[in-house]
Amino acid sequence: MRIIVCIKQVPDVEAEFHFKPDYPGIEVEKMSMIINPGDEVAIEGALRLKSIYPETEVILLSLGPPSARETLEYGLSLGADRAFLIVNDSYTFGQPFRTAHILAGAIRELGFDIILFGYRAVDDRLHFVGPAVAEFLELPHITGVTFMKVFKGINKCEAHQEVPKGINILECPYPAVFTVKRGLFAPRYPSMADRLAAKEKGIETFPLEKFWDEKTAKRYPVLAGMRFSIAETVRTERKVQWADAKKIAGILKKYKARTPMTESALDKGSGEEI
Amino acid sequence: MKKSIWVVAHHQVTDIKPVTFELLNMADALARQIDATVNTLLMGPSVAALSSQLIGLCDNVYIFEDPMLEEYHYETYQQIFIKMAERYRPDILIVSSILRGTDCFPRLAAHFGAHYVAGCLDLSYQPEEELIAYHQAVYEGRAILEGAFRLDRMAVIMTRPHVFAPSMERKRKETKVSLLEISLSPIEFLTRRVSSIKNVAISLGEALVVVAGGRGMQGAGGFKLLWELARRLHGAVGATKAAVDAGWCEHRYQVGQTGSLISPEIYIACGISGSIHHLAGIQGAKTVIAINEDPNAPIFKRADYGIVGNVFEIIPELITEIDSL
Ligand SMILES: Cc1cc2nc3c(=O)[nH]c(=O)nc-3n(C[C@H](O)[C@H](O)[C@H](O)COP(=O)(O)OP(=O)(O)OC[C@H]3O[C@@H](n4cnc5c(N)ncnc54)[C@H](O)[C@@H]3O)c2cc1C
Repeated sequence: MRIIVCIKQVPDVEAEFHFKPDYPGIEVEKMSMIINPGDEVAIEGALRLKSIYPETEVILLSLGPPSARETLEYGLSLGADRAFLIVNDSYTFGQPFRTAHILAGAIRELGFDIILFGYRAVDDRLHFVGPAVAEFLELPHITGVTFMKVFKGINKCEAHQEVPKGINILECPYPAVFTVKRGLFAPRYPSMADRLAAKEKGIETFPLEKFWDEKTAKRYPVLAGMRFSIAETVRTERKVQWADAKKIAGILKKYKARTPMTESALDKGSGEEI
Repeated sequence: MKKSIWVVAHHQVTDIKPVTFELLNMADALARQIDATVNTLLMGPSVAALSSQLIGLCDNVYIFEDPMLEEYHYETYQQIFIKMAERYRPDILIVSSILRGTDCFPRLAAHFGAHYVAGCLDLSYQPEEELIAYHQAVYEGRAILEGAFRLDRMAVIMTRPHVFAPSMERKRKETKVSLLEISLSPIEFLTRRVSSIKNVAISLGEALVVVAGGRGMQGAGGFKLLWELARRLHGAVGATKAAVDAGWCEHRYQVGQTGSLISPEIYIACGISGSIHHLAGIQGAKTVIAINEDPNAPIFKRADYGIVGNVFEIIPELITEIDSL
């Protein structure tokens, strides 16, 4: 079985933020770059499947600048078997069609049974690339997966999909595309030895031109412009009015539920089967 | 030809959901700028009766009823929207990210090679350059992107709930209600639901009232108290990173820069200090109520109403007051 995990090197938004108003909104060279947190979870998902079916090959694929090698190497240190970089000149932001088209091309070239993505990228937050690759490759997709199983003999996957009000358990045949969310798969950390071993494995590359040219670009929409501003992280200060429970209850009156949600509708971890 | 903007209605059994009125308000404002019609697509197993709630709010309501819509499948949505788009040629499709927006609309945009906007905060028209401009929070809310595109092909715009004011003002004299003229072909579903676990009655993004807890709630037991309050207000529960890291609730409840960015009408912060990272998630909250035992906690600088006191005394008191209303 061959699992392809698509990963992206992104700026660490929890670290120091170096803003600039022009594309891509940050001074990339100054930011510390990490693996997109959701993609790390996707790798973990793939490795769990590999632990059940040891003959599984886990292949990492990334479209990114040369620095994305570090991200791929990190993924190898976690236990992936091979890693491919489609070499781009620079960090990409907000070019969802281009990214999806290029990844779909490389995935076709590599061959696959299961394709995993992170649920969303922390930089452009578009939720686009996974489902779009599924569309381009004409495969079924399941988004927001927190847990999955593969039944090899009967060519079936079962996935827990997080939806706003709980979890759906879905099944589909594979090949299929899944976007993975933090849930039951807590990412592991590599040891120093794993890190060194990853360097040995090496990273293979694809030239971008193999999957992308001017003519293809014309098929897809482009933005006429992008500008950035720094988010106002704190609301303008307000003057607090001191109150007591009675006063607050009065403010909340109009929201009072005619029939309060029953206890069983509340989150109690185990949940209720519907 | 006049341009057309389409909005997808959200509904429950007997009601059009408020988010629909937000989308319609957004569509109406843009329609006035680009001279477009506003059309609402109302679809479900049995929805025709709900169309009366849309009269005066748009030019056309298109109804599509099919038993296949009893259960959500992106495959059904994909087929309906592809057929709808081929038949009616919408210029702009405005949808909400709540419910399954992020599951089906990216794929739809990919199918058409349509302009695609996610997390849209607003839409406007720039007549000099004939561009549609929008804002979107990026880098986990640390920066705002202003993007613009030409209406040279269809646009699929996915908005965040609660960012646009819902309007019920019946601005249109006439609203035509008709059936959507498409027919579904039978679908062999590849993805099938085998079962579900229902955890909450209302989601964090959708709730008008969010009751959130921080380290001050002292444990999973403290969060039970928040649920008790939330269920009386038809609200959802949120948490700080500190509470999530402590394992008192799951990550999907986290509000803030690295959690959800929400815009409820009422945000009740219980035992939360009010760090910048947390506040980044509630910029859109209309009224903030804070309960904290430290009168100097930064949360009070951002709150409209504050109670200084122990959450384990104040919250039960508040519950009693609400029950006696
Ligand atoms: C890059 C980065 C990203 C982050 N992202 C997020 C994010 O997305 N969301 C987020 O929430 N945080 C985030 N954080 C963490 C954030 O900085 C704070 O550490 C966190 O929000 C604090 O949570 P808290 O308010 O629950 O805890 P504390 O700061 O410990 O505050 C607890 C409060 O409870 C009060 N209290 C204690 N006991 C009681 C009682 N019995 N009754 C009443 N009040 C009581 C105390 O007075 C205090 O004000 C991030 C941090 C970093 C560095």
